[in-house]
Amino acid sequence: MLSITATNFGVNPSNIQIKEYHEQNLLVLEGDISVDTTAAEYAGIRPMKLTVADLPFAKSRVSNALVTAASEGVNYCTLAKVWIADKNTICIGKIIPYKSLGSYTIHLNTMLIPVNNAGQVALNTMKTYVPQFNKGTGDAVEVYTVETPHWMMFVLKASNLVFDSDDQTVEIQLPGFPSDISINPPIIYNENLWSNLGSKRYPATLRNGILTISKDGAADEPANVGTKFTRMIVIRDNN
Amino acid sequence: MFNSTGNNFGAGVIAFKDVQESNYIVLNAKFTCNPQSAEYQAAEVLEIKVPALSIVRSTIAGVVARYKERGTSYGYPYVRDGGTVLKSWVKDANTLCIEKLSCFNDKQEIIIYIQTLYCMLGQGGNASKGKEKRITCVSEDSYLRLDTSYTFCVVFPKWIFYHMMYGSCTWAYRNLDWEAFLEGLPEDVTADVPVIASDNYGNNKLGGITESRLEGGFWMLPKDERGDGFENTANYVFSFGYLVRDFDATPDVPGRLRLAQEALNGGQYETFRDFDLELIPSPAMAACSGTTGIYSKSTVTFIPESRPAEIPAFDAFFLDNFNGGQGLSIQLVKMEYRTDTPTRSIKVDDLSGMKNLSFKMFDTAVAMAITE
Repeated sequence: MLSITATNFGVNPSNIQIKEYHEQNLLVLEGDISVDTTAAEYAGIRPMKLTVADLPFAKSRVSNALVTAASEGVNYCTLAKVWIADKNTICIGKIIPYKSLGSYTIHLNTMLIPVNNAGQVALNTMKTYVPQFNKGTGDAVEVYTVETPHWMMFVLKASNLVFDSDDQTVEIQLPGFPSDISINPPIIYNENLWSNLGSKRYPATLRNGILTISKDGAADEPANVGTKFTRMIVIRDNN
Repeated sequence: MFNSTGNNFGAGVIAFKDVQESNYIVLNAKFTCNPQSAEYQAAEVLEIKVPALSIVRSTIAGVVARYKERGTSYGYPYVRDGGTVLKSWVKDANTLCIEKLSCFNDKQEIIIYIQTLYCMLGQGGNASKGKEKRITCVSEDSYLRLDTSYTFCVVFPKWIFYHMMYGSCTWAYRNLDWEAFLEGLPEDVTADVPVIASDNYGNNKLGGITESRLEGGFWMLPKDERGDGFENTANYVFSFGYLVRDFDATPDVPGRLRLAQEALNGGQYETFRDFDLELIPSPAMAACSGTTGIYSKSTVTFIPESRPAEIPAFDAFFLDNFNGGQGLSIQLVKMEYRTDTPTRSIKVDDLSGMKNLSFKMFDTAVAMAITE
């Protein structure tokens, strides 16, 4: 677990649980942080900072984390910048338009690498899974992963998903998928190009190779919305 | 960075951020001095002693001097901070000079902001022009507007020229602290920057000067710092300064796995601006940042100017923030970096059904071997 000793935005470090995996030039973070935008400490500071025990490197390239928030019963999401500023500081950018919502959640599924790197590049191998629908249907559904003993990347793309009319879910079986992976990937979609609060999302669970996407009471999508997608980086529990 | 080695006006040690080239220097410092001190009163010109500079004599430049004047009038608080611009110059390699004006003689404290470029005197040669980069102000509910024509920066690797002109604020936010994200401003600039108006409502011989903060791409101006003359429609309120970036002077390692280009070209109207791609070798990860403004296209192939041989062909799935609305929507793209042509190519493909490639990218993704 990431050892957090302080925050500058009013969240008690003991309330933050972030899994971490690191190598000499890689830091993977996985965990959620709930942010109260009405907290006195949240105001007037740039950016949000986590003070942590020594990190594997003192400066990173910028990466991102998913940020989710609710407004008038609708689940929205966007991306926040994440970077390592020094050996003991992880910075997370604020989402200015979400301030008036009162709270939002940062979902770290984040990879961070240092700057100024050289060496023989060893590329990762992508795996493809063939989805089988147990409930609901979909078009052009593609599932890709990169799997290592310590972390995994999960990507899903679908040009369309149709929810089961009885329980409002889509259930997709992924034969051969690692059984140790239990994740909750947000299934993201965009109703239009000009949303003021970001993308929308359906919650989903992936357990024992079965991906279950829930409509979660969301209103029916406009007719021209189709593509759903997600990309998630997770730490494997066998670390 | 360096500290002053002395001064003739009773100030303490002054810390400088600096960029020093053979024919110009950029210096940033903020310090206070007391016009009531004996040393200040004895000085004809304020002189700061510094470690040897890279230039020995400069043209005249300017620094900003400000005093604070706060109080209450008929029960209402006022902010009548005032000031002006002082001449400043490099007298010799170890001496920085600032003119002394009598208008501050009655003040207990003045704050001097050095955010200044000093040109070496007597330099010839052909000048090259910098490129103006527009800054866009992003604020909650778009309450804050900065003048779009006169809010910009000119970006160099170690410093920027920054100019901001205030536009307006919505009525609901008029008495609140102001903060906004300045898109386009390099995020490695940290500075307290004077905001200058023509009137301070207290001294009609001086301007109104208050202080904003730039940090991490954000601009902040608390309510309690805004001068009374701020929203006087008869004047322009602006900031002007040469600001040193928090740059990393560490030289690139040989064979650095990086491709950075100010404008990656993908066609007449297709540009990936401030493109910066860097890999780590093992496990292979790719960090990429930059912005595009490409509409009505789902796929664009960019051709880089430089071709680092150490970066192999790879694929990666990146997430970015799409530029529509408040720039919060998420887009998934696939990047295909190819080395099968002498020029290399970088193809970006929208996988989110947006049918546009207008985004801000700041992501680290898994670099994968190609499967085609």
